[in-house]
Amino acid sequence: MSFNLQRDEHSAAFFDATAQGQLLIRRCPRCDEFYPPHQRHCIDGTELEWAPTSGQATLVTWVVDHGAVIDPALAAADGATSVAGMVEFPEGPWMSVALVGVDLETLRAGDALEAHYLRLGDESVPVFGPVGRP
Amino acid sequence: MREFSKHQQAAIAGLGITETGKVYDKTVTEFATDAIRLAVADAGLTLGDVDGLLFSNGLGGGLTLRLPRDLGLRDLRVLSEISAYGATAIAQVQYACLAIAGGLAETIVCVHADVPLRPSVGAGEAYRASVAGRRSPTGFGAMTMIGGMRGANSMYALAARRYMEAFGVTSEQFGAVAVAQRRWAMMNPRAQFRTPLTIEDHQASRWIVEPLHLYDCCTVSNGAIAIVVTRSERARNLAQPPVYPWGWAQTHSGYAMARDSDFGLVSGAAIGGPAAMKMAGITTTDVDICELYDCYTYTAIITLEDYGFCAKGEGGAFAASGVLGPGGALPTNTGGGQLSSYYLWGMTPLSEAIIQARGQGGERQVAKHDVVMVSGNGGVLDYHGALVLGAQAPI
Ligand SMILES: [Zn+2]
Repeated sequence: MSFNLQRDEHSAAFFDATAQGQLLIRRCPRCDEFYPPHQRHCIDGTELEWAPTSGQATLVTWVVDHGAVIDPALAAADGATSVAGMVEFPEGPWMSVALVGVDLETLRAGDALEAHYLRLGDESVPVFGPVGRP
Repeated sequence: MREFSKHQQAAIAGLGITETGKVYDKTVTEFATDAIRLAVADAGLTLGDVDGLLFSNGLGGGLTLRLPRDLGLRDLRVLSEISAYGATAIAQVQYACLAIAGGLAETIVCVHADVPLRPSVGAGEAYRASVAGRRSPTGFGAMTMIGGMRGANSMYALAARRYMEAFGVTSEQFGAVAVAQRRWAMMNPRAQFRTPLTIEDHQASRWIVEPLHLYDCCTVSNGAIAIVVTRSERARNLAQPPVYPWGWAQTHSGYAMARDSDFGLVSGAAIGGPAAMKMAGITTTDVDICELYDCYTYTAIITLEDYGFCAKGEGGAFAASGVLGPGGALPTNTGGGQLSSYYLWGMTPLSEAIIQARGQGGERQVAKHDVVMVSGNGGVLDYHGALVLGAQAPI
């Protein structure tokens, strides 16, 4: 089953960047706090700005959904199981992402990961795998 | 010496539990009205004595402000829908006690009803469909779903894996909770699952979302449970031994999904449990029985830790030591819990707490049942309710 991922006004800039292989998170111009991409306002009420992040992240936690129906592009990247996780960017925010190319036997919290980009529907989606994976 | 406020002037006087599980011949309203009639009769009251109603919907919805009309209730002085997901039942008790203490009403019925199951649809599928049907995400919401986060099982699996990684707790230790509760359920005629369960069965059961096995996850039930809360003096002259709310708290933590977050490691129970026990004038050593919200084995384990029954990170070893099961030092989820008996959100632990405090647990009755600690948990460890129930009136 293919998923037709559709951008909306709040994610448009994010997907414009992923199409260029660039990952954006959010930053508060007032207090310099960083937030995940979906967040729109700082706790202090300020509207957040976009800020580039390196695409490097560490693994916080993960799950394996053996029965999941997954997009063929994801399946091609990683076989039939769906591995998803929470990653932490160097700036601090977490993001929930698909994991590809990870070894479930050795995977541990704290592992270094990096962003790769997969075409799903009309958009490029960041997925995370081991550093240096082609 | 405890100091009791005027808020602690109410008692639970009635309990009504409908048939639960794969029961398809009733609407959600019919379940609710059945449970309410059972609870009122259990208390030795009639519907005419009821002057307050606090109702709670499951994810399937369907109960509305028309419920009093369906029951023929008139001249109510309190009427509201209460929603804090799995923390709702404890919130209902709290609001009922406060309303009675504040003179808003005298006899308040609290009910929760849900009909998520349909014939020939699997439980997980039915529950997922009732969640997914509510929205069609775009943008970041869609990306999260495509990325693999698809509802409560995935989110709790994320929390559980973080917890296991942080403290070295194992799946077998989670399984000890399921096994202990099944032993209780085998003595509960209302339990949906009453066949023996071993750690090997738990380990061999299919993955729901790894690291959660099938037997780490609660069942799904159709049904309803209602309770009657009234002034303590009145409750003492009714049909059942009154059960007294001694202490309570709500804590709705809200996790920063960022570095140093407590997500998966500590829940609102860490604040709510001690607060409720302080109000009750007790400590963990005074608690005879725990009735904990156990949507997953993992949830029961971190609640035990957060309440202070064992140290943080030791909940798995605590469960594996056998203390939770029949004959153990801390009888926990003595009806089988949501894992093995019935799943009606916070009414599952609350109903068994009332049964045990009254001394009506039959074969599974715990000998010492003066103080029962009850928890409610909603969202993904987002909403927490804690309640201390006493078999005797607060002095
Ligand atoms: Zn700010």
